[in-house]
Amino acid sequence: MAAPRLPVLFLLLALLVVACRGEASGEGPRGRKVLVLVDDLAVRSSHSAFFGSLQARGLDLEFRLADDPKLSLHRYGQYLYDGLVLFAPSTPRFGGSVDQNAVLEFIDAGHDMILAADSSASDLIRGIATECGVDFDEDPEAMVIDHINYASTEVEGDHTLIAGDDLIESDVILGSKKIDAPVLFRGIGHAANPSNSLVLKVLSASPSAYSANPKTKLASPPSLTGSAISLVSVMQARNNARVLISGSLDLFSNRFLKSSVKKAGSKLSHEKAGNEQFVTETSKWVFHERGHLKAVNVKHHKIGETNEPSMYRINDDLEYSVEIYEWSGTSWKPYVADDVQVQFYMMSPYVLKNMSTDKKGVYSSSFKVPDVYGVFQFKVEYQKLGYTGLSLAKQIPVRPYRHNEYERFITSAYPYYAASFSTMGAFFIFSIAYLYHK
Amino acid sequence: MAPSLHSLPTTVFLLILAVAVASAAAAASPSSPPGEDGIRVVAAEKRIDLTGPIVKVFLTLKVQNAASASEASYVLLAFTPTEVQHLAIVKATRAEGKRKKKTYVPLPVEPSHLADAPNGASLYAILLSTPLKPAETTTLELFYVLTHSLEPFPAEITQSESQLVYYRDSAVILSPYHVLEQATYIKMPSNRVESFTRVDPTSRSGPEVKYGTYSNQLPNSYLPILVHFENNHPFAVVEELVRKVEISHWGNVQITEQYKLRHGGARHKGVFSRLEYQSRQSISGASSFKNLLARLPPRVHSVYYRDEIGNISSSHLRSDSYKSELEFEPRYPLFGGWHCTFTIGYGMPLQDFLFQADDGRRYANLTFGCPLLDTVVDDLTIKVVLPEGSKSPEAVVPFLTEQHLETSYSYLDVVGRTTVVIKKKNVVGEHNVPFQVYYEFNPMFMLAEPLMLISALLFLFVTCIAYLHMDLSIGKSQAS
Amino acid sequence: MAAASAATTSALEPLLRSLRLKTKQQELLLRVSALALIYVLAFAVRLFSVLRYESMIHEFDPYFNYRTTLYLTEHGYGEFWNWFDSESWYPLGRVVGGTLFPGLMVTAALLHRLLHALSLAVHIREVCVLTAPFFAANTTLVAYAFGREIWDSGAGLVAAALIAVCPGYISRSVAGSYDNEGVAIFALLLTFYLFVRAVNTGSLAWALASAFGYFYMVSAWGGYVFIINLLPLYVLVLLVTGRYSQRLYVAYNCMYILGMLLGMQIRFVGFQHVQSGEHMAAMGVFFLLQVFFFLDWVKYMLNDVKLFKSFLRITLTCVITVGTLALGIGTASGYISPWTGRFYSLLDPTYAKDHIPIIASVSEHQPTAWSSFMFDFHILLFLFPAGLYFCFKRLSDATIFIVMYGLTSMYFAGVMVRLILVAAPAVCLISAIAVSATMKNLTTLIRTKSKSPQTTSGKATGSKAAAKGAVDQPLPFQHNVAIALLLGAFYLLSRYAIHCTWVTSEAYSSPSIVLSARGHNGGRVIFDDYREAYYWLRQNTPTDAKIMSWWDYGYQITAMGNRTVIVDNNTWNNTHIATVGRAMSSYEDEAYEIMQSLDVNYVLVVFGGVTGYSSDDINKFLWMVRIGGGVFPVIKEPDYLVNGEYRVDKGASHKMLNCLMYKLCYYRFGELTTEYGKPPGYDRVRGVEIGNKDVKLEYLEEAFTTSNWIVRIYKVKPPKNRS
Repeated sequence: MAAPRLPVLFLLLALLVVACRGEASGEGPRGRKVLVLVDDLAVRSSHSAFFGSLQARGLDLEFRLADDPKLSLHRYGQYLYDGLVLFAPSTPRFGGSVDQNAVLEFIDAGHDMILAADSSASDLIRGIATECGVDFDEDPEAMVIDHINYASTEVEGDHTLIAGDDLIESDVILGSKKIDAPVLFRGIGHAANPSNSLVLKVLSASPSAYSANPKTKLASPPSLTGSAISLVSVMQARNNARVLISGSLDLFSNRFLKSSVKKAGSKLSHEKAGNEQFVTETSKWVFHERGHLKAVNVKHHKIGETNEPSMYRINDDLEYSVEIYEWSGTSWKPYVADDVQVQFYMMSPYVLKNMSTDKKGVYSSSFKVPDVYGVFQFKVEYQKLGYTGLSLAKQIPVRPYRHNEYERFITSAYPYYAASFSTMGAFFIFSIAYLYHK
Repeated sequence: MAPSLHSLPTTVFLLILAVAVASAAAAASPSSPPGEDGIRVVAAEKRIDLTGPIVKVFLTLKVQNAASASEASYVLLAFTPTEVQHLAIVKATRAEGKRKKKTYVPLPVEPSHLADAPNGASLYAILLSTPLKPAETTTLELFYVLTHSLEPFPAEITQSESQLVYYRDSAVILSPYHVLEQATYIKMPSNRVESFTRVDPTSRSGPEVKYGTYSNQLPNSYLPILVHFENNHPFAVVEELVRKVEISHWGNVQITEQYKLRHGGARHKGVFSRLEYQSRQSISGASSFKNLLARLPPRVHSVYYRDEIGNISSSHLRSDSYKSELEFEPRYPLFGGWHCTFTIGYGMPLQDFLFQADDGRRYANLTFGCPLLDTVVDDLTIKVVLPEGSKSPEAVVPFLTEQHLETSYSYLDVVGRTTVVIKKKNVVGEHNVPFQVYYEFNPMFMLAEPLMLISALLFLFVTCIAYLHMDLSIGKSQAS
Repeated sequence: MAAASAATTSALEPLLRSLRLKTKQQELLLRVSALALIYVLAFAVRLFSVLRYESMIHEFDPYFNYRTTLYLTEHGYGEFWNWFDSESWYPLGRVVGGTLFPGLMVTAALLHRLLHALSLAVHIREVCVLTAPFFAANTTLVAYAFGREIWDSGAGLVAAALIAVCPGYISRSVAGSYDNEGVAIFALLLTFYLFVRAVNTGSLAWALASAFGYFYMVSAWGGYVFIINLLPLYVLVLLVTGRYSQRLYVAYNCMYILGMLLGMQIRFVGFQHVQSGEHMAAMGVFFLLQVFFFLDWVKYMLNDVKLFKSFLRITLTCVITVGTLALGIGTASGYISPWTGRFYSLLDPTYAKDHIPIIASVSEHQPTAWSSFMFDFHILLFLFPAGLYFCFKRLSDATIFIVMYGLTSMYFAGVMVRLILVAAPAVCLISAIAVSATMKNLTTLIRTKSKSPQTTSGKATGSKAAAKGAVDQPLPFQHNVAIALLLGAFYLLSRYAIHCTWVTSEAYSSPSIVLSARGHNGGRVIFDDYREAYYWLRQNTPTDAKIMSWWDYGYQITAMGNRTVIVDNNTWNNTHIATVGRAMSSYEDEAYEIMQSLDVNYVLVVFGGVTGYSSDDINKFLWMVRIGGGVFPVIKEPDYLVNGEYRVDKGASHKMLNCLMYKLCYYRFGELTTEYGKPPGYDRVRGVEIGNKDVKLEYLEEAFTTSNWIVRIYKVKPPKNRS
C-alpha cells in the first residue's frame, strides 16, 4: 500500500526544494551556482574564510579538482554554473571538456569569474588572463618585489609580501566603507593591456615596486616596474560579465585574511589586514551583488499625449522616459544619479540631454525634434565606472511636414492673391466688353 | 534533472505532483473516487509513440465494475493541464462480443464536469454504449494525440548537430480509478536515447523503453518521467492555415490554401553554410527539411503554388485514380525556427463534391483538416464560399468547431456570396474527415452573371450607335 | 416558277442593295478593322514574357513602381503624396511622394479602381504587369492619328502597324516591365500629335489638349524635358524659315503657358519650369514670339518700310540685350540653376565618363552600338532616310516637325542606348511615310496600267515619277517592275515582322529576376535565386534589419524582401552610395567600422562564379571602387588593378584579394568544384581559379546562400566582447 507512494513523496520533496531555489535566484541578475576549481582540495580549507563569506551570501559552491575528468561547464548547450572561481594557478590543463576556449565562452555567455594566479602560474592560466586583457609577467620565476612598501609582519623576508594600499577610487567595486588597512599580496604582477579599455586596475603596486625573480640577482632591468604593475584588476566585458584577476592566490587565503599587518616604515600597525574586506567587497561586485543596473519600460510620446507614436514629425515636442534600477544584493532599488543622458541620434547625436530623475528610478527628459527628417534613434549609453553598462537604442522615424501642415495664409503672399483675383476679374470684364460692345 | 528545472512545464507538473501525492495520501478514505464509485481498472497498457513530431498514445483499459456498485454509464479519463492544452483528439472504442466475432464500436468522448478531478487535472468521460453492470468487465481501446509535447533540448543547435528532444509523462497512468496492473511502453525513433528516468521496474530494449509492470496503483497517482532522445523528424508546424473553398455551379470547386509554416524544432544557431548543406546531405541539417508532401483529392486540375512575390517553380504532381500527391519545395530549406508562407491552389470537378440531399437541399461534401502529411495546424480556418444567391447554409462537422457566416465578393458579384467560416485550433491528421455544408440554391441565379454581361455589351453597342447618329458639332447651327 | 423566282429576286434586290456598303463605308470598315487588328497585335506580342515565365514585375525600377502603386492603392492618394519612406536610404530616409513621377502609379491605381468598380476582382499586380502593353496598344492609335495628320490615313495605318511591333519600343513595354517609359512614350506621342494638330488648325481647343498631354507626360517621366526643348526649337525653325503664322502663335503660347502651370503641380518638378536651365529655351522662345507678334502689329500699323526697319533694329537690340542680361543675372544669382549632369551627358557623350561615374556605371546609359540600332529598328533604319526624302519633298509645318523630331531623337539615341525608345515612334512614322508613299505610287501605277494604257499614260508617268524618278514615256515592262518592287516591299515588311517577333520572344521578354539557361539535355533550367534570397530575408530576419548591398538591388530588397536598405536605385545621394562602395572595397576591419556607423545587420552580394552569371558584383566591382574613390580619396582604383588589368586569380593585387567584396563573394568558394576537370574554386564567369582560397571572415558570418550561390547574405557580428 505504502510502497508506491513513497517514491512519489521523495521525488516531490526533492523537486519542490530545487524549484523553490530556482524561484529565489530567478529575480536577481545572476544565478547563484558557482564552480570552484582548485589544484588540490587543501585550498578549500586554507581559503575557507573566503569561501565561507561567499556561501554566507547564498552562493552555492561546487568544489572540483581542476583536472577532474568529468569536468564540464555546460550540458546540451545549457550552462550548469553561473560563476567560476579559478583557484588552480599551476594546473597545466583542465579535465573533461573544459579548456581555455570553454572558459572564455563561459564568460562570453555572460558569466563571471575570479581568477587567482601565482608565481607558478601555468600557460593555461596566463592564456586565459591574456584573453581577458591582462598580461602576466612572462618570466615564470618573477614575483612582485617592493623594498619600501613591503609588509613587515615577518622579520626576515625578501620583500615579496607587499602591503598594497593603492586602491581604485570606486565605492561600487570596493564598497562604501573605506579599506584603511593595507592589503597583503604575494605573487606575480601583471599589466593591463593598453589596447583593452575594459580592464581596471583595482589594486596597483607602489611606484617603488618591480617584478623580478627574488632568488637571482637582477641581470637585466625588469620588464614591469612601478605603478604600471597591477596586482589585482577587474574586467567587465561588453555583455557585463565580470572577471577579477589577481596575481596572488594567497591574497584570498585565511592566513592573509586573519593576519595583522604593519607597513614597513609606517608607525601604525593594523591588527587585521585589509584582505578580508577587500576580497569580500570585490567578490560581491564580481558576482553582481552590487553595481548591476537594469533599465525597464522605455517610453516616449509627444507632449500632451500618452500613447507612443510610430513616427514623429520634425519640430515635434516629445518626452522620453526610462526606469533604471540597481540590484542591491537582495532587491531592485531605484538608481539615483544625475549623469544619465539621452541622445537623439542619426549617425551623430542631434540632441544630447541630461535626464532628470524623480528619485524613484524614473528618468525622463523632453526636447524638440530637430528640423531634420530621417530615421533617428533614442540612445542611452550609460557606462559608469563599476556599474554594468546600459545601452538602449530605440529606432524612430522622423518625417517632414505634410502638404497641409504648413501655415495657410501668409501675409507676405497677399499681393499674389490680389494679383490673381484682379486678373480674373479683369479678364471677365474684358471678355464682356469685347463681346457686347459695338 | 538539473537543467530541466528552468523550463515551464516542469513547474506545471510539479503542481500536479503535489496534487497527486496529496490525493494519494488521502486515498485511504473511501470518499475519493469521483463519479461512479466501484469502477476499477483491472489491467492497463499504455503505448506512447514518439517516432514523429506528434505524440500518439494508445491506451488499453480493462475496466471492471464492482459487484456491490450500481450500473456505470461512463468511464472517466484524467489528463494533466499540460496534456489538456496540447490534446488534439481523443478516440475511444469498446471491444464487444466474444473471441470469435470481436467488434470495436466507437464511443463518444466528452469533457466531463460532473466529477471534479483533484486540482488541475481535468476529466474526460467515455460514454459507454451499454452501461456496465455490476461485476462486469469490459475492454476499452483509447487513442489520443498530443501536439507540441516534444520539447527540443538543447533548444538551439548548429547545422551539424542533430535534434534531441524531451518528452515528459508519468510512469503510471493518471486515472481517477484504482489501477491493479499496468505497464507503459515508450517507442522512440532511433537507438540514440540520451537518458530516461528510471522508476523500477524499468527496462529498455533498443528504441523502446518499458515502465512497469506496476501493480495496485492508487487513484490519481503520478510518477513523473523524463525521456531525452534523438528525433530528426521534420517538425513542420502550420501556424495558420486558411482554406478557401469556392463552389461554382458551372462545374468547378476552387480551393485556395494559404499556409504560414514554421520549423517547430530546435532553433538553428550560427551560420548556414550552403557548402556543408550541399556536400554532406546526411549529417548537416539533419533536422531540417526541404520538401513537403500534400495529399490532394483525385482529379485535381490547374494546381498552382506561389507566394507574395510570385510563382515557385519547384513542385511535382503525381496523380492516380485514388488521390493526387503534390510534392513541393519551399524556396529555401527550413531550419529550426525558420518561417515560410505560401499559397497552394487547385480546382476540382464539381460532381465529386456536390450532392443533392433528400430534402432537396444541396450539400458539399468536403474534407476537413490540412492536406500536408503529419503536420500540426495550430489555427485552421475553412471558408466555404457558396454561390451567389444561396440561402440558409449549415455546416455539419463531426467535432466541436467555431462557426460563423460572412459575405465575400468576387468577380461580377452584386449581393455578394454567403460564406461559411469554420475555425478550429490544434488540428492533426486524424481530423482529415469529411464534413458537409448544406444550403439551398435556386438554379436561376446561375443565369444572373451571363445576363449582366450580355446587357452590358448591349448597352455599349447601343450607346455607340446613338453616338454615331448624333451630331454634337455647333458649327452647323451657326451655318444655318 | 421562273416568274416566281424572278419575283423573289426582284424583291430581294433593294434589300441587297441597301446592305451593300458604299466605297466610303467599305474604306472606313477596312480601316477600323485593320486598326483593331493592329491594336490587338500590339497588346498580344508583348505577352511573350508572361507565357515564357509568369505574370511578374521585371528588372529593378519596376519593383519600386510596383511597391509605390501598392502603397497608393492601400493608403489612398493623400498618404501617397506625403509618403516619407523610412525603409530606404537608411538612416536618411526618402520623401517618396516628392521625389517620383506619380503618373504611372496613379494610372495603374485608377485602372485598378475602375476594374473593381466593374466588380472585376483583379489583383493590382496584374494591372501593373499589363499597364505597359495596354498603353503600347493605345500608342498605335495615336500613331495612326499622327500619321494621318502629317501625311494621310494610309501612312497612319502603316505607322500604327510598324510601331505596334517595333523592337525598340517593345524592349521597354513588354508585359511586366512596369516602368515610366511604358506610359511616357504614349504621352509623348500624344502631346506631339496634339500640338501638331493645334499648329495645323490653330484652334485653342487642340492646344489646350496638347497642354494636358504635356501635363501627363510631365507627371509620368523625366523625359518631358525633350518635349519642352523640342517644341521651342521647332517654333524657332518655323520663325527662321518664315513660316510664322497666327496658328503657331496661338498653339505655342497656349500650350506653353498652360503646360508650364500644369507641370508645376507635380511636386518633383515644382518650379524647374521657371528656374532650371533646361527649361529656359522654351521661355525665351515664348518671349521671342511675343516680340514677333508685336513687330507684326507695328509693321501693320505704320506701313512704312524704312521706319519699320529702324524700329526693328532698335527693338531687336533691346530685346536681345535684355534677354541676355536677364539670363546672365539669373544664372549668376543662382536663381536659374545650371544644366544638370544628365543633361550635359546627353549633349556631350564623353561628359559622364569622367565626371559622373554613377551615371556612366549604368549599362543603359552607354553610347549605342550599330548592332543594337540594327537590332531595334531593322529595315526602318533604311526606310528612315527615304521617309525624310518624302517629307522634304512635301514640306509642311507637320512634316517639318516630324523631321526635326526624327533627327534630334536619332542623335540622342546614338548617345544613350535607352533613348532609342524615344526615337522609335519618330522612326516608325517617317518610315511609314516612305512605305505608304511608295506603295501608293506603285499601286496607282499598276492600276492605271491595267486599266487603259494610252489614255492615262500621263497620269501613269506622273505617278511613276512620284514613284521612282521621272521617265518620259512608259517603258514596256514598267508594270512588271512595279509588281516586282511591290513584292519586294512586301517581302521586306514580312522580314521585319518576323524579326520583331523573334526579338521580342528571345531577347526582350526575360525578367532579369528569374534567370533561365539551357541544361545539358537541352531542357530549360530556371535559376530563381534572387527571389529565394529576398524571401528568406522577408521571412527570417528581424523586421527592422538593415541590409547593405550595392544600389542595384535596393529596390528589389525593399519590394520583395520588405527590409530596410542603405542605398537603392534612386541614386539621389552620391555620398551615401560612395560610402557603401567604400565599405565594399576596403579591408574587413575598416568596412566593419563603416557598417557599424550605418547600423548594418546584413550584407548581400551577388555572385555568379558558380553558375556563370556574368552580371554579378565582382564584375561591377570596379564601378564601386570608382564611385567610392570619387568621394573618398583613400580608395584608389590602381590598388585593385595589376598594371591596368582587372583580375581575381593569383596574380591579383593584395588589396583586391582581401577587400570585403572579394571575401564575401569567394568565402568557402575555394572548397567547391564548379566544373568537371577544373580545380576547386574555379570561377566560371572570369574563367580562372581564384587567388585567395581560404577566406577567413572575422566580423561577419555567413547567414544564407542561395541554392546556386548567386545571392550570398552575411550577418554582421556584434562587437568583440572582451576587448
